[in-house]
Amino acid sequence: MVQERLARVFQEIFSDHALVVSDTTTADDVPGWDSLAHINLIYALETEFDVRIPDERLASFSNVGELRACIEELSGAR
Amino acid sequence: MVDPLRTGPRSLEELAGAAAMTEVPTAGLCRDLALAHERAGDPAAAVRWALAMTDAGGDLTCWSAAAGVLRRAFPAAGLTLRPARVAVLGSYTTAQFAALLPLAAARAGVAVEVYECGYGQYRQEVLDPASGLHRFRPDVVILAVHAGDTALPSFARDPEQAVAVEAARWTSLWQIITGSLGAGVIQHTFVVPETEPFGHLARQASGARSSLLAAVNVALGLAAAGVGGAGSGSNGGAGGSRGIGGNGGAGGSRGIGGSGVGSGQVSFVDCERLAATVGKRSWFDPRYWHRSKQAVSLAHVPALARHTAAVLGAQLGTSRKCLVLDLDNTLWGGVLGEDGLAGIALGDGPAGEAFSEFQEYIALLRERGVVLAVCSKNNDADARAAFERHPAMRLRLDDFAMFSASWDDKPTQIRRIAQTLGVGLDSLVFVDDNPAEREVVRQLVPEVDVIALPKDPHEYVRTLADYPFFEPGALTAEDAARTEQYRARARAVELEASASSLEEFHRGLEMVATVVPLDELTLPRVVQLIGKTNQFNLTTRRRGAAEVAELAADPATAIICVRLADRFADHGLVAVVIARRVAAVDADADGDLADADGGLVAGTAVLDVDTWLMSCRVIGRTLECELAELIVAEARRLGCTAVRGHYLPTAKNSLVADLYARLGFQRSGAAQGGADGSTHWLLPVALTPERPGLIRVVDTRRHQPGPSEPRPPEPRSGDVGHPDAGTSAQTMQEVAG
Repeated sequence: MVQERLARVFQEIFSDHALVVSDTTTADDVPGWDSLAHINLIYALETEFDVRIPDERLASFSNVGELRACIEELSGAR
Repeated sequence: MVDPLRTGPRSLEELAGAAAMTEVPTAGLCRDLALAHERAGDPAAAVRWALAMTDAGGDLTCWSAAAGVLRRAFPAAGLTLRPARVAVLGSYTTAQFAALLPLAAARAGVAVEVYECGYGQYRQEVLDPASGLHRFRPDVVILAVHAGDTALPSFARDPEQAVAVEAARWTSLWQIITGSLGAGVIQHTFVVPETEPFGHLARQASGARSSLLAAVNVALGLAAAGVGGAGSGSNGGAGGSRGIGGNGGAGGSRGIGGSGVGSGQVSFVDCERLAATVGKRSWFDPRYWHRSKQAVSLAHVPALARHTAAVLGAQLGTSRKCLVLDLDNTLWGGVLGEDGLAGIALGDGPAGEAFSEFQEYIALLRERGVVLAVCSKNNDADARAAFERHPAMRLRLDDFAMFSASWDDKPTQIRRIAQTLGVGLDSLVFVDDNPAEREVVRQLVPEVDVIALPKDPHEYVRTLADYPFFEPGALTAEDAARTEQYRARARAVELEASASSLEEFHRGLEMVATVVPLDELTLPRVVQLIGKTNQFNLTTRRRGAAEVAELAADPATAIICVRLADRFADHGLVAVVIARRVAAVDADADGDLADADGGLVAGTAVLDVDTWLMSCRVIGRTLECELAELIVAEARRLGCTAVRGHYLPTAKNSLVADLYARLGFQRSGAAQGGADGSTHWLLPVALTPERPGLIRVVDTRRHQPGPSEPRPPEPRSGDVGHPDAGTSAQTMQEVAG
């Protein structure tokens, strides 16, 4: 469930319905994932899942899997 | 909550089917339709849905996607918009704002090419003639700045000086932009932070930061309007230089006079108001300020883009100008043709008040230049009569540049309105409560903007106010005639502030009491007052409609119904008196007339005040004195020698225990008084109650019994101080011009 909604947010942010992200996807794999898109992405995820990602975690995501795990942890969903 | 539609890309047919099921598709659906049409190779439809999304209130992500569609599909969409080169100069991260601006501007009728200056570089870019900004040659420069970028001290020992210096920092930029760049300016006002170290004391500490910021906003407004000149000399303005510390006023404008900026070259987006509307803690999110220098929460960047685009459109002349209004359930509650004039909700009752307020808001739009037209399915004569006859009607026939009531379908009527007024269909905004009428107009005259009124009339004003594309351009020659009005209003506010006594204040209110007949229009309100008034109610006798009507039919009965209005509000029907002519001997039944010095003679008659009540909202306004006068006049008309009043105490009406005494009545039958505490009073008609003279009384009944001045009926309070009655012809010229 989280994975599906997460994927949908990615598709919206990067305006690409064909975009597929997996746990191992990194910023380098997605065209247009710059610092601005990153902020928009974090904002969209916080809104979608109604969570507040702590500042210290922001810089530590090395791939989508870690981001997903963080959201699951914060939202208590899985 | 998960949007059920968000299940990945769907076919165009599927999406169109979903859209057809709702009148106003959700923002997400609009966005999906835009994307689907783009994929299907229909750029015109793609752009249409992208623009529709902006009206459906989507979030940042939704807007970003729609902005992408517009960017890609616009060149082939065949849309003709007014082109403009727009520079965004920001004091914070404006990337999202700049990215959404083309979409918002397209909705406002403008095709923008955007230049975004480097983060924090805007002053250098303005000042450096070789900068990218100067090379870009903008038509309009948007100063998207925030309070944190002002150079104000945390506390100013000389607030006036601090405000003047800060205002000059901005007006000097305006001078270069309007001068050497030859561009217009759109300045975002400063949002005064909701955190205030001085607490409530800041209101009287003009050196406190929030006071300074508010004063800078005021000073910039005056400078842009070209009135920033000799701030201290004129009596107008906010008079900031007077009083303690020159709190928050125009005082700061001193020294920035001669800003060298012509009227109309600088416009504002009032971010302070936008932020207050959504709540300042929502408008600004400190997390995103600290993370990436977003001075406007990403949730509100779409709204900021939308409002900025509306102001841009106003500056470039693409604003809409004409409001086309339905009547039934739009300007009043109910259906005139079915419910009759007496049956529509307007003026009284919660729904009636809501519709009155909506009319009032529309009247104000009209006063500031929006052209009004009626488009209704009604008999023309009936619809017009409603405006002429209904006592609570705030809008008048001559407020409308065109009055179209017929049984033609609305698209036909709307085309005729545009043609008659000589305006384009893209100048019109249609307001109707009926979803079917709205839909047919959307389908058949798509150039017209359609505002979907909610079901609840209490939300009408906000719904209309949220529509941003009536934004007026600069206040220019067209408004010159209205200047006097603004001045009159300013004088009134000054009067209120300076009134040294209650009497002076009341006099300044310019109260008008209108005596209206008891008829099918007023009866429901009269019965309502009789049924619920507790405080100012001498006898608290409750009666139903039938009983009141029966009394009224008796020629020996006098019924006085009074509406009260003042310069600021129409209070509606607020006072009712029912009095009956009775033989003096009957009147003596529970008293002792011989005691009173009324000169009563056996065989003569007195006017017995059976019921006297007033709505609590007008207590303390001396209206009771005017009513006493009216009662005495009725007594004379009916050949009575005296007026007899009663006070029957209840748990709630002690307010009026001494009313008759205050009005100069003599206590009658003082000895008995009544075990229940009731008292009885007499006033010979030879005596005239004292009138403070603070209220002008106008009698609109057929017989004119009273002392009322022989003036024509006063239709509504709003006329006072508004010499600009306006004519249709004038209005049409304004549109054409």
